Amino acid sequence: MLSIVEAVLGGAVRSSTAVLFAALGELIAERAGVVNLGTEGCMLTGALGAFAVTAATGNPYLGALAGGGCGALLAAVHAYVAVVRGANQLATGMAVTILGLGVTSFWGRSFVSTQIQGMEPINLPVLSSMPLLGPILFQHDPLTYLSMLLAPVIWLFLARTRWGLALRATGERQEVVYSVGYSPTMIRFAAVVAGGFLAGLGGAQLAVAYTLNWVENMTQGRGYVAVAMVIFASWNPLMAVAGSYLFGGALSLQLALQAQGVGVSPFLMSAVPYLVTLGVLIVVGRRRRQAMPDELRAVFEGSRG
Amino acid sequence: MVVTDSGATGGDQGSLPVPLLEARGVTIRFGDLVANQDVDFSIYPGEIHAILGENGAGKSTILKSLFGVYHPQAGSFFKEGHPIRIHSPADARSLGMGMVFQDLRLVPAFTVLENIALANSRNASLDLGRLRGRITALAERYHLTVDPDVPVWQLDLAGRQRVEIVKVLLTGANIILLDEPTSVLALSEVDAFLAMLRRLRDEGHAIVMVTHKMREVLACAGRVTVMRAGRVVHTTNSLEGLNEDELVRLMIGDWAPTGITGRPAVTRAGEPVLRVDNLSVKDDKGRLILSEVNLTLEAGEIIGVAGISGNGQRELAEALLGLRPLSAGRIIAHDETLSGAPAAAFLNAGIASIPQNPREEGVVPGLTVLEHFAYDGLPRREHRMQVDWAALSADFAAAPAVDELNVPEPGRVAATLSGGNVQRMMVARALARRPRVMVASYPTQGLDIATTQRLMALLLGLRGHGCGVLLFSEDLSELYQVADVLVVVTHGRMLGPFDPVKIPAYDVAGLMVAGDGYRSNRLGHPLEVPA
Ligand SMILES: Nc1ncnc2c1ncn2[C@@H]1O[C@H](COP(=O)(O)OP(=O)(O)OP(=O)(O)O)[C@@H](O)[C@H]1O
Ligand SMILES: [Mg+2]
Repeated sequence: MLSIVEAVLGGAVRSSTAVLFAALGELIAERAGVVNLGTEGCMLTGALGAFAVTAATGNPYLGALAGGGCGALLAAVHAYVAVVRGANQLATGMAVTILGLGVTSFWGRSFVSTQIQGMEPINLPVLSSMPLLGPILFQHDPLTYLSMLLAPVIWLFLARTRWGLALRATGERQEVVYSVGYSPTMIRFAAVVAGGFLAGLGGAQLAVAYTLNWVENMTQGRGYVAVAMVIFASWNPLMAVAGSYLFGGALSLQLALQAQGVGVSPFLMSAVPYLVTLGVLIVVGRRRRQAMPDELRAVFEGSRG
Repeated sequence: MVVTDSGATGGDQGSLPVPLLEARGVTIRFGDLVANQDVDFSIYPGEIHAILGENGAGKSTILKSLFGVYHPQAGSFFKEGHPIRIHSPADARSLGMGMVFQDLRLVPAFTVLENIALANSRNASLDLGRLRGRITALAERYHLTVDPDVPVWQLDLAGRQRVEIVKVLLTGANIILLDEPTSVLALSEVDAFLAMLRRLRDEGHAIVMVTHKMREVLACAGRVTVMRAGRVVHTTNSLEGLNEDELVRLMIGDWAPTGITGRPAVTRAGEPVLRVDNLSVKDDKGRLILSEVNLTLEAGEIIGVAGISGNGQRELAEALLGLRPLSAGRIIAHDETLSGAPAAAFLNAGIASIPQNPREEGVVPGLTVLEHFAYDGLPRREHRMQVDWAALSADFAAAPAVDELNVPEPGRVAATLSGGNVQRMMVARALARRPRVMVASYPTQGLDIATTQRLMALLLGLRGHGCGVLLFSEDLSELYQVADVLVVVTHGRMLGPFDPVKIPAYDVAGLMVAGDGYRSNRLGHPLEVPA
């Protein structure tokens, strides 16, 4: 029994990593006042980029870096069109996702049955031999550890550094940021690209550490879940960890139940994590309006692109 | 004169040294509208330079172009005689400038400390502890009350103005541009502020201040530039021998200070239109800020509410509009208990308001003036389920307050209006509702002198028509000019009512500061505070 719990929860952590990366990336962009619905596309390009480079070089770490780069590149398209040219963010983001899906489907075909040597899980010394917590938290691939570290790092960046403060201010009142000598456009551009890098890293984890293969549209809407997670997390990176693990937990439980042969259609079962996400959003609702960056209001109300 | 004795820089170039900063021939157009036409303007070290002019004269525009926010179509800038380019506030800051904007530049969701850190941090990591110390020290030195750890959205307008002042001072700027920095500060605070400006001037800072208050100009300015319709019409290098009336005449030409002569007779006098029973309200932090407030406002009565801002004025005004829940007590209008009802019930009971912070509490930047009047102010006009804009335009043009206050054309977009013109729009809109109760918070903020006088006359007109007016103001002379009754909010209580004819302004100011423990020196015994 215990080993099942360990397996399900450990699986939850591993399967959350991709969403967590993407959610943290989206969070950075939204704190700067930009919604990037292209996150899904960034994850996909990241996954393919990582897979292709790993297949070519045999080095999954190089692959992960390439995946982040691909995500950043696609996010730069969003940043240019939505931030620099001022087009509608929501429409641009959707277009970017569709672009990412199209591009990866096209170039990904040749990789469909390719085998790669992905990232091996690393058991952290001492920590991994703790009862229960060890197998759940400390027997994972390096990218998963990185995602765990990243959340508090981003929290610190936002709360304690000058650029974090400027980024948050850009998401609240860009004219204030401008008046104290920063360029809100530059800050937003950088935030979106950095967010895209993280989304790409998320996709990379999926491809070269978690599933170790390439399938068309393999992110299956995780990018959108990430966008929802940011709202669930009230734009707080630490809360994003909780949200992502909840999603991953549902995913992992669903897989475990399928493996046990529960008599429910696998198609219905795989909808469960998304239902959990919806449920969480309903419960959280608009609990704290103060948490939402002010500039995002303009995006949703359509008074700004 | 200030300018000549600070002539450390090139004293032999004629009577004046080289200006620290100079704008020559600046022209700024917004579409067809010329906001600045061929403006020359200069600032010397160690001087306080006041800019005067009516609403929309172009004062904010020239300041913003010096600070790099607007880019002139023509003209050039010089620093100490050398041509410079100012493309952005970043350039302006590196040239040593700091600016307090008329509509302020603060992030409401941030604390005071974070807002100040945003403008002041040069290192990668924020040293908030040290900055907090610097804020407290500076605030103490210049007698400004600021709490570094309060979120800005919880502050009223005066509190925000103080934060802006501290923020700019801490940047260490030596050219300080101030756009109506005192528009909502109480008199005692203004005096401390002016003392601070004089001190900064003596330390060698160059200060530019836009203001509508001649008293402030006379109290500290060394030079004055007067603008009218986008042009500089006058620059004096000395204020010697100038008095208030002469300054105003420079500003608007022929000026007959009409004053308020007599009070129109009141219809339906004595009938109570609004009653407040034992009311208590909390502020945004959940602290009880006012309690046991009792007040009866009669038709044809103006009650002036005096007090230093932050003593519950904002909370009381919001409660009277149904925007803030009461902790205790009742609000009754015309025998109808309103407290607990939705805000719409307050509106339907004929309560109108001039908000304290119009930009945040009433203005939709992207809408036109007429659209602002359509969603509130003018009666609804519909024709086959569509807004009847033609009828609305006619109503707008026919509204007396629109004409009297010279509200900008109905098609202008609110975001493009000058600060005073936004205020004119908000005031005229509240008046157009023909309210039975008017809750007016700092209604004259940002208005030029002539418009302030016209507004005071309009308030008296409302009174004549049997409207009850609750006038919140930081300016005692304004209150004494029109109020029938005075109350003072201070230390969590509302004191009064007092008869303005009997209580000297001196004692009201004492009550504002010290609360009901105040003892009048002159009288030698506690003031009578009627229950
Ligand atoms: N961004 C803008 N777009 C269009 N018109 C503008 C803009 N900014 C200012 N104006 C117009 O330029 C003129 C001058 O405005 P400005 O704000 O300089 O006036 P002001 O002298 O500061 O007045 P106030 O005393 O009311 O603050 C006004 O007619 C105003 O409507
Ligand atoms: Mg102005």
